[in-house]
Amino acid sequence: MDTESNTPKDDPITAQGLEQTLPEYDDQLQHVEHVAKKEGEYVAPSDSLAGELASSVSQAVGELYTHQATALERLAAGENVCVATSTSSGKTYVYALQIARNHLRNSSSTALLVYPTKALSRDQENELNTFFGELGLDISVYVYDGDTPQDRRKHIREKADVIITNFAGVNAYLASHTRWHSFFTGCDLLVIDESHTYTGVHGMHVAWTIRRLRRLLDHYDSDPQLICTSATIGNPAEHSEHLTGKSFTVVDEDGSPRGTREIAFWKPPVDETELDPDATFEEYMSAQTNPVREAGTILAHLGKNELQTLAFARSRKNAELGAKYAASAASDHPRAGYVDVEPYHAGLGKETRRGTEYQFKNEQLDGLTSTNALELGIDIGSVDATILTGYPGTRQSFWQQVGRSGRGTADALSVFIAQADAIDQYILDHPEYVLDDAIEDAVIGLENNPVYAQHILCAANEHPLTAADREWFDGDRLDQAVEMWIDAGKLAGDLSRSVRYIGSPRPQSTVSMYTTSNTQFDVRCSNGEIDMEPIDRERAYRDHHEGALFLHNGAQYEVLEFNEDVPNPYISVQEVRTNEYSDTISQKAVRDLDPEATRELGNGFRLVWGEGTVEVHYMEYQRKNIKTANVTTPLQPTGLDPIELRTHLMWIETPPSLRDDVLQHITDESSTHSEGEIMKIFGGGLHGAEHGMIKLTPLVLRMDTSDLGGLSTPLHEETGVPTVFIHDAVEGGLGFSKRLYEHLPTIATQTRDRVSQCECSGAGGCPACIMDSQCGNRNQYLHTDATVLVLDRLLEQLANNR
Amino acid sequence: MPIPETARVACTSPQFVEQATSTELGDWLSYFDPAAVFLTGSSSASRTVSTLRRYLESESVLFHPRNNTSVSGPHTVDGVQFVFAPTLQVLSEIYTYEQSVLDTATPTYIISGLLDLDVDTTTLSTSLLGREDYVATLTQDQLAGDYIHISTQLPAGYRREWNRLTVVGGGTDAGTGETPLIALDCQTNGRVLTHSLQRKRLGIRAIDGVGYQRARQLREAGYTSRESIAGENPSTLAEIQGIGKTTAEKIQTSARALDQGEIVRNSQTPLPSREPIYIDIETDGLSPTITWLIGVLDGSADDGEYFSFVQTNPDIPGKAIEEFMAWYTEHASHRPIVAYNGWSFDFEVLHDHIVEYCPQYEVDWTNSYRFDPYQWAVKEENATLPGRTNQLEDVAAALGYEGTETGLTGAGVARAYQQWMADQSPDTELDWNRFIDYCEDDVRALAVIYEEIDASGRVISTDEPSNDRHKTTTQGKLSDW
Ligand SMILES: [Zn+2]
Ligand SMILES: [Zn+2]
Repeated sequence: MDTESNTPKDDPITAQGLEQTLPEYDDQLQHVEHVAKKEGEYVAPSDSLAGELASSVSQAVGELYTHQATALERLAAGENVCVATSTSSGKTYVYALQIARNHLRNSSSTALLVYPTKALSRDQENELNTFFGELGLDISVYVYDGDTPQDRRKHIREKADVIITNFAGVNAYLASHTRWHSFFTGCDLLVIDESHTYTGVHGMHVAWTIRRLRRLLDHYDSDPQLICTSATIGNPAEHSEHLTGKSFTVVDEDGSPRGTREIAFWKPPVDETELDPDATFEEYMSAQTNPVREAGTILAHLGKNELQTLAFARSRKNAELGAKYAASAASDHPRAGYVDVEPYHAGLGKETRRGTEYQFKNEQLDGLTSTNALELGIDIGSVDATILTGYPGTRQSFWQQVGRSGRGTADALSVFIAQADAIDQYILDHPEYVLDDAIEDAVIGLENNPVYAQHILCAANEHPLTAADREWFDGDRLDQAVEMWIDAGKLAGDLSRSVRYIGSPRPQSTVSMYTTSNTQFDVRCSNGEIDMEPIDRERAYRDHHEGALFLHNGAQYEVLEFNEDVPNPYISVQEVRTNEYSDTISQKAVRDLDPEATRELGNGFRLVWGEGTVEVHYMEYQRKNIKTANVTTPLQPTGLDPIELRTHLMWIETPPSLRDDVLQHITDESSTHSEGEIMKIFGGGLHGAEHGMIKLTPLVLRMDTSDLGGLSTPLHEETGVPTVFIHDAVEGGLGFSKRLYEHLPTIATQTRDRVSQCECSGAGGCPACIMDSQCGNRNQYLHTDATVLVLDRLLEQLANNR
Repeated sequence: MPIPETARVACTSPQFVEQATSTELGDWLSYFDPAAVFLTGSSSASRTVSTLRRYLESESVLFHPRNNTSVSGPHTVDGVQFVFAPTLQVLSEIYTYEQSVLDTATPTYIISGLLDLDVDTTTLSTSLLGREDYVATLTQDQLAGDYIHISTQLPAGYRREWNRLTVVGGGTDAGTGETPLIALDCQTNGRVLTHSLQRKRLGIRAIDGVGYQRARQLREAGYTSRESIAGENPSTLAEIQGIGKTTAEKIQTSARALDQGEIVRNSQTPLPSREPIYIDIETDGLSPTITWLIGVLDGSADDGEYFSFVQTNPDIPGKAIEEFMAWYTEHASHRPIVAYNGWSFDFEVLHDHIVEYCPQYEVDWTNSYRFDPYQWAVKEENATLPGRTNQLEDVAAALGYEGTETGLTGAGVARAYQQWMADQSPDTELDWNRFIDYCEDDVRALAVIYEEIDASGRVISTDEPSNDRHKTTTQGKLSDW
C-alpha cells in the first residue's frame, strides 16, 4: 500500500498543510483520516462472458472489475442480484451486459429499467445506446416517462428493447397494461437502479407498485430476473427482498480502484466564554462560528493556492452566502486579491447553471458553493478539494461529496466542517463511523395498511383479483382489504371467483407516491412556482399551519393559507426571505397502546413495540430572529384542532424506582424531592434520552429525523411507569420504530456516548447533544447528566439480556 | 316487460344551493326535473331550505335530514312509496305504516341521513356508522315489505347489502368541487338509476369556453342566460373586457348550438367519404376484461340494418370480438368504423381485446379506418354539438332523437354482466334481448348525430330550430344497478 506522499508540508492540499497555512488557524482540525489508494481488481471479460460478446467488451471497455464479473456469473446462474458497491464502480455495466446476453440469446427479449429521477434517465439513455452501439448490438433504449410525447409512446412500447422509466410512471402505465402487451411478454429483466433510495413512505409505494408490476408480467407469462443496484447499505439483501418480494444474492466486494485522499474533520471555533450554562438553543447556535463562513474562508485559502474547490452547502441560501463569504475572505487574505467563486443550486435558471458548469469545468472558476444539486449525475470534471458544510445525512452522500475531489493520481483533500448538531458532533467524536463498513439500514414498512390498501384498489382495476393473488399481496391480508373496499363500495365480487374494481376511473391517479393518507395537501405557491410533492396530513399540521415558515429545496416559504375543508385540501405559500424561523408549540398524548412485541430486560425495564394512538395538538407558534432568537412575532394560535394518528411505536418502560435512583445520584441527597425537581431532573433525563435517540437514529437507518416523533413522561397513564415513546410520524407506521426496537442497544450506546462527551457545560444540553429544534416543548426540560444515567441503566439491562 | 314507475329525486349539498346563481338553480331543476329534492350534509341549513323553497313547485317534496321543517313519514311520489326519516323515531313507526298506508307488495324507499361510511384503511375495515341504532329501531323482522335504505350521508353510486339491509348512497357532497350533482330514479321494481351532471354544465357555464371567470364577465355585462348570448352578435360580445373576437365567436356558436339544439360547423373538414358502419360495445366495466356485445348498424339511423355479436358465455371472452372481426374483414373492411368517443374507449378496448384474444386480426384492425365523431367535433373543434354535456345521450336527445326507454345505463349494463360473470345462475342471467335493444338504441343515436353533422356541412342554415329540448328526455350519465 502506498501511504507515502510527496507533497510539501506547506501545501494546503493535505490536512496538515491546511493546518499550517490557513491564516488565523484556531485548532479547528480534530482528526485526519488518510484513505489509502486501492488498486482496481480486474478480470478478463472472457472469464464471465461468452465468445463474441467477451471480445467486443474487451475492445469497448477493457477488463471488468471483479464485482462486475461476479454479478454476471450469479446472473448467469439465474439468481437475482443486488450490486451494492461504491458510486462510480460501474454498476451500469452489470445490467447492460446482462441485457446484451439476453438479446444475443433471444432478439425479442426486453428489459425495464427504473431510475429514481428523470434527469438520471436521460443520461443513461444516451450512455446505454452508445455502449450497445460500441458492442455492435442492435438494442434500442428509450426513456418513457411523463415527458415522452404522446405521439411517440406507441412506437416506443412496440419497438423498444429497453425502456427506462420511473415508479410514478410505472404506477400510471399499469392501468393500460394491455398496450404494453408485447413489451411485457418479452420482459426478461427488471432493473431497479439506486434501490437504496426507496425507503419510508415512498419505499412502501414502490414496493407495492413492483408487486403489481410483477403480477401483470406474470399475466403475460413473464417472470423477469431482477437486478438492484444500491449504495453500500447495512441490509442490501433484506432491503431488496422487501422491495421486490424476491430473494437476492448480494455482490458487494468492490473491485474498483480508489485514489489517495485525506479527509480533515474540522470543528469551527466556539466561543464558550460568552455562553451561560443555561444557554438556549438559539444562543448555542449563534456562539459557534458559522460553518458556512468557515467554508468560505477555507475555499478562499485553497483558491489562493491555485486549488480548485467544490463546497457543498445544505441550503440554497447557504450556497449563495458561501460564495459571498469566500469573496470577502479572499480580500482579507494576507495575499490579498480575489477568487472567482459562484453559487450553484436548483433555484438558479438552467442557463446560469449550464454557464457555471462550463466555466468551472474549464477552470475559469476557483470554486463553487453548491447544494446537493451537483451531487448526482452532473459532469463538472474533477476538482482538487471538496468541502462538506455539515453532514449530508447519509454515509452515501458523505462519500459522494468527498469523492468529487481528486484528479488522476494527484492527492485529493476533503474537509468535513461539523455543524452544531448531534450527528455532526458524533462523527467528530467517532470519525470511524463514516469509514467503517456500512451500517445504515434501508427500511420499508410493508406493514403500513393505508398505503397497502391503495395499491389493492389499483391492482383490482388492472386485473380482477382472485384467490391466487394472495401470493402477491401478503396472503390473508388481501381478504381483509378486499372486504373493506367491498363494504366501501369500491370493489365487488369475491376472491373465490373474482373481485373487480367499481370505483371512479383510474385509481392509480389518486396514488401519491410520497404520502400515506387519503387526505393530502397540495402545495400552491402564490408568487412563483414550487415543485413540491403533496404533503401528508400529519406533516401539514406539524410544519405547514398558517404562519409557519419552512425550507424547501433551500428556499424559504411562508404558509399563507391552510385549507382542509375542501374536496382537495391545499396549503398556499409564498416564497420569502426572512431572518426568522417559526417555532410551534404542541401538546402530545399517547394512548390505546397495543403491544405486538415485548422484551423483558429485567429489573423492571422492558422494551415494547406495537400500535398506539398519538394525539398531537399544534396549538401556537411564534417567530424568532435566527441570529438573536428574539421573538419577532409573539405567540399566535395555529387555528388547528388536535389530530390523531394510529401508528407504530416503540417504547421503553422503566421501573418506578429509577426516579429516585436518578434524583439521588444527581442531587446527592436521598431526601424527598419536589415535583419541580422531578420534572427538571428525572423528566429531563427521559426527555433527553428521547431527543438524543431520535436525533442519532439516522446513524443506523436511512431516514429523516422528522419521520419519527417522541414523548417521554415520568408516569404514563397506560404503562403506569416512567416511559419513553418513539413513534413513526405517519398514519399506519413507517417501519422505523420497529427497527429502533431491534437496534436499541446500538442507538442507545451512540446516544450515551454523544451526550457524555458533549462539551456543553449546563445541564440543559445543547444542539450538539439533546436540544432539538423540532421539540414541541421548547426543549423543556432537558438534563444531560440524568440522560446519561437513564441510558446507563438501560444499557446495563440490555447487556444482561443479549 | 312492464315499465316500472319512477320517481326522480335530485340530490344536492346545501353548499351548491348557497353558491349557485339563480340561473344555475333554475337550470339544474329544469335539467333533472325532479319530483323531490334531498339536501345532503349535516348542517341544519335553514337558509338553504328557504332559498330552495322559492325555486320548487309548492307540491315538491323537500327532504333535509337535519332540519325539523323537513318532510317526514310516508309519502307516495309519482307512484313510488317513500318513508322520510329525519330522525330515528320515524323508523320505529314503519310497522304502523304497514298496517295503514304502505303497500307491502312493492318496495319502499326509506330516506334518512342516519347511515354513514367510515373506511378505516389503518385497520382495513369499513363500518356503517349508525347501523346498530338504525337496525335496532327498525325491527326488520316484524316488517312484511321490502325496503331500500337511502342515506344522504353516503356517496352517489353506493349500494351494498349490510346483513339484509339494502343501503344506497344519496349523494353526499353532490355539487361540491368536482363531485357532480345527481338525480336518483327510484323505481317500483327496487332499482335505483343514478344520473349525474357536473355543476359547471349549468347556466351560461354550460357554454364551451365559458368558465368561472368569463361567466362573471358575461353576467356583469348583462348576459345571464344561454339564450341571451345565442341571440347576440359576436362582435358585440367581443366588446366585453377580457373576451377577444375568436372567443366571442366560439362562445356565441356554442350558445346557439345549446339553445337551439343544432350542430354548428366550425370548419369545412369533411367527414369520411365512404359509407360508415356504426358500432357500440358493451363490456364488464371501465377497465374491461371482456367485450361481450358489439352492436353494428349498417345503413341509416332510421332504417339501417342492426345486428349484434353477443358473448353470453364469459368463459370464452374472445368469441364475440373474433366473430365481429371475421364479419368485418369479410364484408366491410373498406368502410370506416364509427364509434362515439371511440378514441377514448371503444377503439382502445377493441384493440386491447383483439391483441389478447384474437391477435390474428391485429393487423386488420390497425389497418382499418376508425372515425370518432366526438373526437372530430369536440376535441378537434370541427363542430359544436348541442346538448348539456357532449355525451351521446345528451347530444342525440338535443337533436330530437327519442330512444326506447330500456331502464338501463352503461354502468348498469356492465355491472349486470359482472354479476353474471361472477356467478352464472338463473338469478343473475341477463335478459339478453333487453341489452341488445339498449345497444341498438345507442348506435342509432350515434347515426343520428353523424347524419346531422353530415347535413350541417352541406346546408349552412340556422333557421329550422328543432324540437323544444325540454320535451325530450335528457339522460345524464352514468351508474345504476
Ligand atoms: Zn451538548
Ligand atoms: Zn422534546
